[in-house]
Amino acid sequence: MNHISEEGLLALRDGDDLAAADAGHLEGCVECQARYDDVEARARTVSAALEVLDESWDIDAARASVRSRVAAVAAARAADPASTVRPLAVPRGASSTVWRAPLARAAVIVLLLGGTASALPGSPVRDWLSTLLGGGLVVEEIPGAGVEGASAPSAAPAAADAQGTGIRVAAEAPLRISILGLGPDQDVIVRWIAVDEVAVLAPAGSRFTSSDGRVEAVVSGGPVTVELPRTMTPATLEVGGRIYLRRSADGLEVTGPTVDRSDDRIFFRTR
Amino acid sequence: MDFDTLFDALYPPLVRYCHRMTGDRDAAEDTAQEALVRLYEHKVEGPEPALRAWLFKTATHLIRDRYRVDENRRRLLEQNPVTPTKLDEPDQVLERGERQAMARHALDRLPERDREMLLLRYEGFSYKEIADAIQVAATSVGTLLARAEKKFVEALERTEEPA
Repeated sequence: MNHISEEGLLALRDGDDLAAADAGHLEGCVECQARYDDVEARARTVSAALEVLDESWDIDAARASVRSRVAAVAAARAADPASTVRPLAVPRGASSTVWRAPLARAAVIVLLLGGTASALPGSPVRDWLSTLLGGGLVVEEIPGAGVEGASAPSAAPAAADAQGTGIRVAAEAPLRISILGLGPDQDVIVRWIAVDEVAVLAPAGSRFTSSDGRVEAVVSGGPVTVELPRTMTPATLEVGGRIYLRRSADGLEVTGPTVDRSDDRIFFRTR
Repeated sequence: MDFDTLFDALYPPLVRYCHRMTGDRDAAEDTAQEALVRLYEHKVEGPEPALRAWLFKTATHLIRDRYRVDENRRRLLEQNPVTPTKLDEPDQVLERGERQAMARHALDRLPERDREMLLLRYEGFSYKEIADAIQVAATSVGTLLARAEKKFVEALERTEEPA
């Protein structure tokens, strides 16, 4: 007799569709029933262990924070539909005056007014936000979207070269560049430059954000060129969540998969 | 779905998931809120289960991106030890703190993918949704999940054994 596999028992326990064929066998098999009881007991152990980690949360504060940030996105979009700038989370303990651009300051004012007004039932601002933010991607039961969703908003590049599109901003320490969306065998070239700017250049369709020394690129593919100020510390480059290089007061630490390296550049290839 | 309805339905499980993943309150709140902002920013629409799956997937990737490096993760945990929630009896506080530390330690021993898979499953996601979120074949989820559960329980039992 072929007994139900371990994964089959789990699928039965979890009510997964894959398990339908095994259900009949379980009813008539004492051995599988005993193993099923074991996986059920294991689930109770796991569940109880996880639940003890849970804490209480200030839901109202979180709601206000998200509402404000959504309003800021709407305000920035209204002020400049082509803008790629969006508010990133303000680090705890940091000053609230994190945005320096005039557009951002205007967005904050609109956000404060909008956030307050949108909290009122029946407020037209609520509808205004809804109009601004509505009409996007419709996801099905299983979303096919990536990290950033399949509906990455159209974005005008902040800088561009022959590679397609990019971002170039003043570098601020601590500098952290994060590149997402690259598959294996894609080239990432780091160039050291003499000015205090950071740039990320990537093929068309890539999307960029920056805030307070942090630059995030969700790229449509390779190659990606990153220009980094030669002397700035600390500076970190992450590709796909993995640290490729880190410059600190102690020197340069290269941990990514290098193909070639010179004084002026480091040539990585993703794995 | 309006903002408040969506928020009330999805934020609590999302922040719980992020907290279980990171072991860090601030990181959990930041990640959950960032995922929600991105939902609006990208104008994602659909039925609640689909929005929920999108949010958890986005949060999973954000956590991978920001907290995946083991050194960082260990540092975060060292700087933010799990603290028990308020209970009346000191014994209860102590016991809960110990159980939290054991569970955290056991989770921390799991490889990243196993941890994601386990936590998504215990948030009620189907095998297909888990497969989509962590990009493995749907037919592999059962096998991988069984392994992840066993590893977690074994790690839990090891932490319970007296030194």
